[in-house]
Amino acid sequence: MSVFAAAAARQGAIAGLVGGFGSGLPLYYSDLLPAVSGMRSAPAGLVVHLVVAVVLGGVFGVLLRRRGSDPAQVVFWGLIFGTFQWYLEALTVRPLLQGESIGWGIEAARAALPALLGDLLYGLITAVVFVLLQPAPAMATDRRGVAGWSAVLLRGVVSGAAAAGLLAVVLGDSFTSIATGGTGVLALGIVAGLGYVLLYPAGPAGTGPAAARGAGLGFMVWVVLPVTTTPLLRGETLPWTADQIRALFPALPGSLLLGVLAAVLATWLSGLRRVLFADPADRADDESLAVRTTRALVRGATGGVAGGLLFTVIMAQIGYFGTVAQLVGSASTGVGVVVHLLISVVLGASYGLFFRGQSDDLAAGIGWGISWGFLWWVLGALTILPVGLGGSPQWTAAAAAAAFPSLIGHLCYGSALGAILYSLEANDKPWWIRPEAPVSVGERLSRRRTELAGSAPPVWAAIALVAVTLTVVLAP
Amino acid sequence: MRRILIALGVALMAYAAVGAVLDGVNLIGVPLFLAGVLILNDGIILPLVIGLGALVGRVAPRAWGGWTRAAAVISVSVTIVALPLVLGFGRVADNPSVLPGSYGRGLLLILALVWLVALARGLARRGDPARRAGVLVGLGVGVAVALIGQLRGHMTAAAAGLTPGSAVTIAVTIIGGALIGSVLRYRPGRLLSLITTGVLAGLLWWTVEWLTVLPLFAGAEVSWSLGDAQASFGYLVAAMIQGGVTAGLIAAVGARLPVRTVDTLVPPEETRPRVLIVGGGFAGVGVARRLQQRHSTAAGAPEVVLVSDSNYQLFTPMLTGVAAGTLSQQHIGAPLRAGLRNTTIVHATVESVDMAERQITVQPEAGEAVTMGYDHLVLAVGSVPDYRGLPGLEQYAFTLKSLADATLLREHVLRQLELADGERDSLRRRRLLTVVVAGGGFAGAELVAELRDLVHSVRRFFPRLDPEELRFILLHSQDRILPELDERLAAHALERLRAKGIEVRLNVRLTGVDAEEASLDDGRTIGTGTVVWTAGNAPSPLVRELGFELERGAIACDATMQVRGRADVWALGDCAAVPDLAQPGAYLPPTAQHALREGTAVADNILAVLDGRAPTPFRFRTIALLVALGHQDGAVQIGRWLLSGRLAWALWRGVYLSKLPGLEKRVRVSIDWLLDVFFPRDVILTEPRRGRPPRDRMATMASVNVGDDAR
Ligand SMILES: Cc1cc2nc3c(=O)[nH]c(=O)nc-3n(C[C@H](O)[C@H](O)[C@H](O)COP(=O)(O)OP(=O)(O)OC[C@H]3O[C@@H](n4cnc5c(N)ncnc54)[C@H](O)[C@@H]3O)c2cc1C
Repeated sequence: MSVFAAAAARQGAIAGLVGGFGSGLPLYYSDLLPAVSGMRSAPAGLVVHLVVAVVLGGVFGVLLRRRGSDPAQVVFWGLIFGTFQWYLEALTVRPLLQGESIGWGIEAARAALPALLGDLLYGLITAVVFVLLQPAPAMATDRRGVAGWSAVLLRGVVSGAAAAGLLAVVLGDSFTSIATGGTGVLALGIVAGLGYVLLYPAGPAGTGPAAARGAGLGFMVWVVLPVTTTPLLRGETLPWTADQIRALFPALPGSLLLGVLAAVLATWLSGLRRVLFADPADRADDESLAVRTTRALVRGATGGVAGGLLFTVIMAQIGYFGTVAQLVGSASTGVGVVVHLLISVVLGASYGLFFRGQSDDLAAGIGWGISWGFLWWVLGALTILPVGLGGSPQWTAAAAAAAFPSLIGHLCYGSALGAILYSLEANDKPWWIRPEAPVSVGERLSRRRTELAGSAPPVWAAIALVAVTLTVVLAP
Repeated sequence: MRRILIALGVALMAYAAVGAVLDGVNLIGVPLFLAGVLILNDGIILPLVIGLGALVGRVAPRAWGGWTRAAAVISVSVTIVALPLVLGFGRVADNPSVLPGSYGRGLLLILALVWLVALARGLARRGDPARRAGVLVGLGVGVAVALIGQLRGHMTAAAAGLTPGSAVTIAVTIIGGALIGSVLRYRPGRLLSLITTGVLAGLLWWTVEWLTVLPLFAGAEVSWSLGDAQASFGYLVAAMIQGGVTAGLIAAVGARLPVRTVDTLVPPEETRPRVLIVGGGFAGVGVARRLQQRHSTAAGAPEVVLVSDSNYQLFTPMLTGVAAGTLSQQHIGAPLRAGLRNTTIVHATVESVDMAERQITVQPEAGEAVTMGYDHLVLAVGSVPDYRGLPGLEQYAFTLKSLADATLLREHVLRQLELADGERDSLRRRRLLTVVVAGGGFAGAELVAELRDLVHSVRRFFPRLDPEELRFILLHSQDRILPELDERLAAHALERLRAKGIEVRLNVRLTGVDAEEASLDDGRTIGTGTVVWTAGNAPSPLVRELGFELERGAIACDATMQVRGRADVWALGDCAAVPDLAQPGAYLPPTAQHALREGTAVADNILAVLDGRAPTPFRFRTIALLVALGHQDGAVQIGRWLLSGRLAWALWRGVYLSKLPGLEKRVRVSIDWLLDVFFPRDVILTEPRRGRPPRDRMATMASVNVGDDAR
């Protein structure tokens, strides 16, 4: 092991220790440690927990030794690290060590839910501490002064607050109830906005990726605030058992939407500057606005229709058409099909627009597509559809479980859409094979490449994994 | 053969009819049903499938092989046809389906089979080594997972209702492994991402395998239900681990394979075969565009170089619009560099071709001549006006082949109006106000009608002109104009032109032109200062200089469009004589319609040759003939279907607008057309005082005018 890796392992171990305390102490005081660690006595459980935390932290440090300079990457890897850890450690290794059969059944998973939240929290804390432990120069690769950073932070606050305000106005009580009223969601929004700009200070990116990252961020906010910090501040024990989490589930869609909106607004705020004021010389390499927009819309719509058609049969079988038909006040299946195809076109075209030129291989296309599909499950199936049918957003665990077929539909649709759009883009001279691109463009492209190699995959995986896992495990 | 088939069909129908009568079926319902089927099939499904095929051909990714395209078309058409059944339209309680089983399941099974075939074919295709390695690794892991799954039965208990027999489960699991492997690709430094993506692929595959495919084969309805998901939750974990492991192994293998980084995705120039296209017209651009969309399996994407002496593709069908002042001249040219971004554009004139050395010499506008090598040479240099040696035409007649021609003609006609406005001598004035177009083909007929519209739309700016004195004459050497059109339609067009006050003279040839008049072969002359020649074109003179075997002055080639006797030189478009397979002994007509399709075919043939396959002969029947006859009038022939008047004109505009290359130009031309509705045409003369600089006619006209004023 090189000196470099050893140093990274050391930093990782320290971060892991902090993460272990961060997740272990609340567990300890909530009397959940015996259940989580499998030890009968709580102090012994804490020790085991800390030891595991340090070891895994070291592993984390080594794995991410070259990526420490990019906070977004590290944090999202932390999230996915925690998730994987739950599957591998809590569901697989620990039962084996204890001489039981591996716990891949639904009951075992449900029982291990506190461990999932513990692992997620551990991953997040470890990642953040690991970033903070990195030597300063690595953090300060961009040359922003105090003024520059204030502008960035301001952008975060403004977009977070605006996102919270917008959602509160549009959704009313269903939204504000996720965090005890207006000030609560405002605080959540500001945290989300700040979190986003701190992770991605570099300004404009595609709207689509921003939305996907926002969803990941929203999930982290949910884990950290309503599920952990708020109850602790109120002096309650951790509400981490399956039943308690089920009661907190309604805050998850709200946090996700909040994260998405905050991220999108922050991106648009910095993108606006570029659209309005950029010197033509700086964007000489771009295709004209009309051409690229039209092309993106047409491609996206093509992919949308194809994706929509692909799943019509299954949609028909799960009785989805009857529901969407009600959106336009009809009960006929035919109307449902038409509405479904229209929705597919809209989702496809918007995907084309927002995710234009963001994928450099098939897997990336599928990844972004899944994220988009998931977002529309939350936004469409859980929020807009019930509201459109004259009700309020259906954010409970039971409603999410009832909408499970739709979740699978959205994930499959999204991945088909992403794959098709990627293939269509690959026809043209795609951005990822432009070694001759001029410097200004090259910088943007290389940022995109870094993201695809770094922080994007954990975002896709976290979104899909968490959505499926929580919905299945929390189903009543 | 055909007769036998028809006879067979008739016999079958007779049998069915006899059976129907004997069995006493509903004699009203059945014909109704048959009529419905006919309408549904010919009127809806057939066009739909054809349209779909075209769409898929156009938008499908170029990495897709023919099989995948076919699978796409088949599955969409089958879905559309079967969907009403699946949705249960028209199903009433007292008339239940006679077919057993669920339509939805049946359809899904068919789709699954179609895609299985396409996938198997796709996976078997030789592709890039990294992908193949991925598929193989995935396949291996799939086999292992299937085995473990069979050995350890305990997880199966929960998911028992979802699984069909172990044979199918094993097969599906193995295919799934290959699929997971096929989307994962190792890039240096992306190990973590790859593993994460692998886990994601595993999750996705779980939804496909456990929630969709296995229930389908097990005879259950696909419901994507929570119950199924909970029952197979263990397999979700397993699938994700499978994805992660596959990814890890792919990385391990990939690290050993030769690195394909971003820069080497495009093979280095030297190793790629070079296709050199000469001519940036419909034909040349057609070839280049197709080569941009497809590539050869053996040689990858060839390097495409296009040499043209114009740096844009001219959309000739709208050239009359420029001559008539409705369209701005830049709007009907598509810059080659904008449309062909993967093609190297060389703005130069080809001087000579050395087929022995496989190189050509090109001369840029300035500087030294350059030689360039090729692996395949495509000649698409088009045609030039051919005056048939008639005296005076070279000097005095106008033509309509280029933007410069069109602009020059427009300015000349407007200048004649300016001159005539101040001209007192009626003979001279009539001469100024007479326009003669020689050639009653498409270009001639369209042009004479458009010029008439131009003059009339600006006439009010010249109040001293007498409308009676304006003359437009179309000369044609045969007894009917527009010989390509159906006789009735051509006669109708003739009537329309005459109704607009255009003199159409049939069976008469132009024999010569001078500064004051045009002489005809019937001995008469017409006093005119404007003669436009559209009656003859000949392949570009370059063709003769190159020393190819000629056929009617054009390069003789085979039906594959290979120049006779050469496998690596291709000729198409107006400069080539391509045999018409539908009519032995005839050649394909020199139209843009043909040139474009020939371009696509040549590109496919070149790729075939690069892959070691035989090129296919080109077959194409003219789809439609469209001619615009001035203001909101036209004639259209589609097969045997004839159409004239406003609808034909609208069709003309619609079709050509859609054929115009590039969104931007389409928008600009539409705006030009729209503005033409509201504003008069422009009478600005941009070339100061002289119409055709090197010729002395303008000088004499000017002096006449000055003389008049002095008087
Ligand atoms: C007024 C008019 C109206 C028409 N209307 C229609 C219509 O409505 N429908 C229809 O189907 N057809 C129409 N046509 C016919 C159609 O334009 C031709 O059939 C078509 O352009 C042939 O395409 P091509 O590529 O063979 O040649 P062209 O389009 O003539 O292109 C030849 C290209 O080769 C280049 N070139 C020539 N020599 C050299 C050299 N030595 N070195 C480098 N480059 C060279 C030229 O610059 C040009 O770019 C019309 C033609 C005219 C003139």
